[in-house]
Formats: sequence, C-alpha cells, structure tokens
Amino acid sequence: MKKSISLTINGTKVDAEVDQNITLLSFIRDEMGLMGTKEGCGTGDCGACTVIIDGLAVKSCIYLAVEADGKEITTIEGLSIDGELHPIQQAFVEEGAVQCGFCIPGTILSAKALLDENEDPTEEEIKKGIAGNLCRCTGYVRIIKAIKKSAKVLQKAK
Amino acid sequence: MAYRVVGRSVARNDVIDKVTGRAKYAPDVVIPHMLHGKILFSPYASARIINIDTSLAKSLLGVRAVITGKDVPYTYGSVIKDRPIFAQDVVRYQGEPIVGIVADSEVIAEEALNLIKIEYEEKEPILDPFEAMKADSSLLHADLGSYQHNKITYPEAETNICSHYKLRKGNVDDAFEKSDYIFEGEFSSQMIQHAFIEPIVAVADADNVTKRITIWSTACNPFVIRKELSSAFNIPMGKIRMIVNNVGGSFGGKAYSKIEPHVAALSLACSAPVRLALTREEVFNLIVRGPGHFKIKTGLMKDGTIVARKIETVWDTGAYAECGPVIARNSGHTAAGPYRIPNVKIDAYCVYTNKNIAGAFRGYGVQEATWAVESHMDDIAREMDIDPYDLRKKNILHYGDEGATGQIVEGTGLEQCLDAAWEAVNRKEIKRKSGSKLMGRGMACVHKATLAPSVSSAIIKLSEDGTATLLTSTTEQGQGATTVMAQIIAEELGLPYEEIYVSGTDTDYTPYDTTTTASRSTFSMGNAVLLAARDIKEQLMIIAAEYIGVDKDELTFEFGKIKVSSQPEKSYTIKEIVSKYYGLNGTLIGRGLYRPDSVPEDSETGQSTKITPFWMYGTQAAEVEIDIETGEINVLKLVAAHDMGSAINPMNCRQQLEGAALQGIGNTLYEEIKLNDKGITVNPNFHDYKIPTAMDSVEIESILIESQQKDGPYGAKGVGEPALAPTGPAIRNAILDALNIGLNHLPLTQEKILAAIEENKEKLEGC
Ligand code: FES
Ligand code: FES
Repeated sequence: MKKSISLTINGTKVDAEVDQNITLLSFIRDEMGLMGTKEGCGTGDCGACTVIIDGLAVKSCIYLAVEADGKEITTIEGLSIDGELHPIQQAFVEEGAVQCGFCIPGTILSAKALLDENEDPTEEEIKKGIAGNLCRCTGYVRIIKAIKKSAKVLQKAK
Repeated sequence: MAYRVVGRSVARNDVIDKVTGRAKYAPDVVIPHMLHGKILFSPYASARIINIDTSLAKSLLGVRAVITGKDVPYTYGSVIKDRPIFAQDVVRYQGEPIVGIVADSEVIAEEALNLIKIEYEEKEPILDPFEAMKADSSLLHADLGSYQHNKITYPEAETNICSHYKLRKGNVDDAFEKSDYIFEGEFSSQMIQHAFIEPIVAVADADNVTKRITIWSTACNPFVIRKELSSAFNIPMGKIRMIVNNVGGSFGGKAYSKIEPHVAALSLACSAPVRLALTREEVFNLIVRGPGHFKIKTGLMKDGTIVARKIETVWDTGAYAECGPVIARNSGHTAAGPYRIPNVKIDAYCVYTNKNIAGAFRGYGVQEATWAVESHMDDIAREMDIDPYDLRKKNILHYGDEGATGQIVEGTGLEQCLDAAWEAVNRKEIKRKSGSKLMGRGMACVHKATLAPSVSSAIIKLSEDGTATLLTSTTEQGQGATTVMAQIIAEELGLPYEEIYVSGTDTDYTPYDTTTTASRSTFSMGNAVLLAARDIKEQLMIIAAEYIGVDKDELTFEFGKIKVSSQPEKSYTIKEIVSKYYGLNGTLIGRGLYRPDSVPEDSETGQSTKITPFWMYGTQAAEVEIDIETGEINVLKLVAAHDMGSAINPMNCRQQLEGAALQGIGNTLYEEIKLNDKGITVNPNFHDYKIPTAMDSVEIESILIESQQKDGPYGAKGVGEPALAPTGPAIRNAILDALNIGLNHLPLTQEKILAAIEENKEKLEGC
C-alpha cells in the first residue's frame, strides 16, 4: 500500500508516494539518493542513521517514512551551505575527530540537535547527547573536543 | 633534518568528504538494474543436510535465482582451503550459508527465504577445544590432511588441530632445573566481535558467458580475495576486478573473503548485478575473535632474571580455519613477551570446533598473548616482591639482544615506552583508599611483528600542471593511510600536500599490495610510495637536463625546484619542466615496488634471523578505582606510550592510540559474544553486545616515542595494532595493585570483580 507524503528535506519540499512500511532511512537513501545517512544496524542501536526531524535527533532506521509527512528533515547533506562547512563539521576537521567516518554524519547531526537546544553544554551533556552514536574508531575523545569547540564558535557567531 | 610536510598533523585528505557525507562506502554503491541477494544461514551449529527443497522459493514472482552448494561445489580459503561457499551436506557452525537467493528486491528475497524447506539431522556440536583435541573426538574435517594450505600452517591430519605452531629456543627443561623460582599461570581470553560500524556489504556484477566479475566490497585485502575467488571459481585473476573505496572500520574483521564468494556466485547465477548486504546480526555471526587459552611457566633467578619460559596456547578457531593458523603462529612471536629469555618453548594449537569462525582482530593473537604474558609478569613480581616496573626493566629487550624468534633487536624504542608510560601514570600520588573505593596502578608492554613476506607497489602519475595522483591498493579503513602516503609524496617531491590525490583500490588499475593489515602500510606501502616518488624525481632530472640544455650532474632537486649549479640564481619548478617536456598534455609515471627483507622460519623451531622486517613496541599504564561494595570499576586514566619509529602524522598516531585504548577497555571489561549450549550466539546485536559509548570514554594520554626505524619511510613504522594489546593487562594489573587479586579470565565484568572480592575478603583486609 502506497501513501503520499509531503515533507521538507534540507530546505527543499518533497512530495512522494511511499510504501507504508518503508523506513525513513530507506526513503532517504534509496528514494532520495542521499547516501550520507548510514545504516549500521537497522535496529536503533548504533545511531549511524541519525537525522534531525523538526529539531530532534532521530534514528531514521526505526522511523517510518509515512510518519515524516509534514515534517522538516535535515540530513548531513543539508549542513554545509554554499561550499562552507558548518561550524560543527569544521571543528570535526580541525580536532581530528574523524577516522573511518561511518559514524560521523549521525554524530554530527546529534551534536547539531544538541547545540541548537543547549548552546553551552557541559562535557557530561555532550557525552549524553551523542551516547546513542556508536563509534568504534576514535574513543570519542576528539569528537567531544570538537563539539565543545563548535559550541564556542556558534555562540560567538550569535 | 627538518621536513615540511612529514611530521606535521595535516588534516586527513578524506576528512571533508567524511564530514559532508560525500565519502562513498561499499553500501553506497548503486548499479542500474541491480538485484538483491539474501543468504539462508544454518540455524544449527552441527548438522547433516538431508534435503533442501527450493521449489516454492523459485516459483515466487520476482525471484531470479536460487542456488545451493550443488550449484557451486567449490571451496576457498588461502590459509587452509577448507571452506565451501554454500554447505555441501554438512553444517559445521551456526551461520553456515546454505542457500543463496537473488530477487528484484530485498523484501522479495526475504520472502523467498521463508519458502525454503530444509530437512536437517541435528548433531551434538563440539564446543570445547580441549575436547576437540582429544584423540577420540569426532572430526570436523575428516579431509584435513589433504587440504591445500599455506607454508606457515602446520595441520595435524586425522585430528581437529588445523595447525600446531612450535617455537624452540635453548633448552627450557634444563633451565627450569637451574631456576631459583618457577611460576605458573593460566589465562584465557573470550570470544568478542570487531563491531566496526559499517556492516559487511558487497555488490557483484558478473557475466556468466565471459566469466568476468566485478565486485565492490568492504574488503581490506582485495588482492587476497581476488586470488581466493580465482582459485575457487577457476577463473583467471585478471578477469576478477575488486573495487574498494572507503571502508567503515575493519580491525581485521574485513580481511580475507567474507561474502565476496557468495555475491560472485549469485551474480554469476543470473548474469546480473547483485547487492548482498548483511544485517548486523549476520555480521556478528559471520566473524569473531575466537577464544584463547594460555598456560605459562617461567623460571627466574633470585635477582629477577628470567631464564626460561614455556607457553602452551589453544586457539578455538571455530568451524573453518580462516586465518586462525596465522593467528596461532603470530601470537607465538609475541607470547614470550618483549624480554631477553635464552630458553623458550611455545606450542600453539589452532583447533576446529563447531563455533563461530575466528578471524584476525587488530593484532592476530597479539592482544590475547599479551593479556596472558603481561598478567603473568605482574603475578611474578608480586610473588617475588619486586616492583613490576623493575622486573620489566631488568629483562626487557635492548638493542642487540636476541628475541625468542631468533631475531636480533634493532630498535631501541621499548625502554623509552616503558619509562615514559610509567612516569606519566606516576606523576601524582594516588590515594589508595577512599570510602569503599580502592585505587591501583598497573602497566603492560607489547612487542609485535608485522607480516612477512609481503609486497607493496605504487604508481604516481604526475600531471602536466605539477599535481600528482597516487595509485595504491592500500585500503583506507579509518587508519589514515591515504593521508600518510600523500604526505610522503609531498615531502619527497616538494609538492603541496593538498595537490596530491590518492586513489581507492581497483585491482584493474591500482598495482598490487598484499594486504592492509598487520600495521604494515605506513612501512611497506610507504616505502613503495617513496620509491615511486624517487623514480619521478629521477625522470624529472633527465628531462630537465634536456630542457635546460645542461648535464644532468649539474642539477639538484630541492623542495620541488630544480636548480642548476652553474646558474645559482635560477630554478625551475616541476610544473615548468613537465609542461615544457610534454607540450600541452601528458603525465610522468613513477613506479615503486617494495619487498621488505625477511627469512622464513624453521618449521620445527620457529627460528629465523628475520621473521619480520620490523618490530613494534609499546607500554601502557592504567589507573583504576574499584568500589569493593559493588565491584564497579572505573578506569581513571590510561597512558599509551608507543614507538612510531617516527610520526609522519602525529595526529593520526594519536587517533590510533586513543581509539585502541577505548576499544581495549570494552574488550577487557565487558564485551563478550555468548553462545548457548547448542553453539548459537545469544547476543548478536549492539543492544546485547555492548561496546563503549561516549559515556564510557576516559582520559587518555598518548605519548609518541620516535626511535627512527632505519629502513622505514622517513623513519616510520606501524602503530595501529600493537596499540590495542597492552590495555587489558594494564587494567588487570592495576586491579591486582588495588585489591591484591589477580583476575585471569576475560572479560573482567563487574560481577566477576565483585565475586572475586567476596572470595578474597581476608586479602582485602590489609588494603
Ligand atoms: S542504523 Fe539506525 S540506529 Fe543503527
Ligand atoms: S570514525 Fe569509525 S566508527 Fe566512528
């Protein structure tokens, strides 16, 4: 059974006919071709598929595409504007927070949702904010540093 | 000598793509009209297949092919060729592939799976390696004696021992006789999983008329897999094309064929592109780090000099050999510890059981062997009432010493690592007790060999605008290899680092490299890249001489500029020379081939004057706090001091040490793949198999020791794998220091610590 949905992805309005049981992750990757959103487990346990829905970080592998009807979605592709990295992306580059990179889009989006909500988080709040984003490469040390740094940059820009 | 690019923490050359989501991984490969594959895996650890009925599945609309072992009666495996692509009547572990399906969509493929009817005769699985080693045990592979195998595998026909590695040096029995003290210990390491975040995915596009096969996969040694496929399918290597772009973490778990033979078979069956993507659960069941068991006996003189060490290890490798025999053997290079011991005897048995298949995990058995020997070292120190640091300091391998494998130590970094790590963790006094919490410190050392023999080759294309592209088959799996290679070229040719491009692997176009494992890339591929850059330089000098009209001997090359001795005020850029030489278009091609020196081992004694082109060294120290009421343990600080040879990119080196440290903490304190009594994994997902999250991250001090590897590119050698090994025993020894309790069996869970505290109440009184 197909259902029509209409949503905004990275600022662009999208109308689509989707199967009732496909996940938002599958819609984003397979229908929209936005491959920056990754699938690590498909069961809501790793956070690689994290996107932002109406300001909240959500695991798109356990979220139905039809539920996204009328909502505003941000994926990693929506973060850098006009060839400029978003300050969080920039901080990840500068702090050396990236290794294999597979967890990174999801982690950056969790960080963005956190900083949009709480502009000056403590280290503990940062750790909590990305606790659902598993990374096997980095030990998180530099990821945490990068998020701290980007919080400062974003605050200054205000 | 001061370098401009080498030794600097330049940003990784893959990082922008990785933060913008543009980086392409195998799961992102889409081919027009691609079909989808699924595999039916065995639900039993040991069984006979009586009948497979695929008729209903075949008739489902949208199903394109259904294949079983009958359709592809081939085996593969480059260590031991013991593994069928799809089961041939016998099931040897849960997760054995039985049937492959291709359909228009994953949903249809899944539906078709449910329509397959298989009749099994379930058998009692052999799950205990010690049982499996007994003479009267039933055999997993009755044909072991006739299987093809590589030169460093020593199978014992008519047994379940698929390899028995031996190391013999001096005479341990005599030395034990003469020892003042003898200590013995037993240790074990558990089954764990790599838990890379990118699952295992492959896409194959094969043509069953020409037998040409192209595979995009998450592999970290595409040339090994190409060879395995060529041998299994009897197709020439040149017809098989392996393409690997970014790999989302491997830690050894993506080495050797994983699902490449299956996806190739599926694609050949319907002569169309097929994508095969494993679920996380399937990944957990496909590959693990197997359990290890260690018995160690050490003889010492009164003054603490170690004179003899005997070690017996049993490696539970699961149903097929994979690279288990290499793990058993390589662990033997490490197992005696980085100490000067004149008499050593090691027996390492790699044993088949009906368990999950054990593969390489960041160090090929070195993490496990280090766990055992370094725990044993602290037990000895405690018994003899010597400071564990002093015991190590006294016995540690120095320049010119002969190690257990018979190789003379050429590096000097180990003692520096030992001193630096111990100093760093002892900078502040610790409070040994506060309320119900006890604190302690511990340390552990590691030495590790790399792979030998091996070959790396590289091609550099220098374009007419003076920018360079490197063609290399080192796979980028997060370790930062592409960055280091670009730094080497930039340094050698004096080009801007940002203008060096590095390819992914494509066996049709990128030249041979043995494998991206064993922490060999910086050294081996780095040397190949350096040679390719020098080849470019050599050619530049020839064409510059021609263009300028002077003798080649008059030219010198400095930081990307060519100078003429008779015209000191003039210099020529690379771009100028190349573009003048070619006119409008053209590229200069530099080639580099590197085959590090090594000497094969004696099969009876394991002795070789050069078992490995270089040794890697490190020491880690931990500070822990344990609540004796709850058994909860907190790692307060971890110091990792490792010898890089030289740090081509210090940030990359630190990333390796930090990432390994937290991986090591998870491996030590809670990770464990659990099987039930039928041999079925009970926790094959990230919910039940917990890996460290950001909440578990700890303070890590990384110390880079630079001892200058004499034949390494700019003095560099490897670091990724040894970085994981000492974390576990350093934590364990810190627990020993805090509680006076030695825990010998991994993982050291809160429950296990609490139980040990309860059992040893009286010991704790004095703390
Ligand atoms: S893929 Fe969604 S949480 Fe893992
Ligand atoms: S960078 Fe590899 S999983 Fe995070």
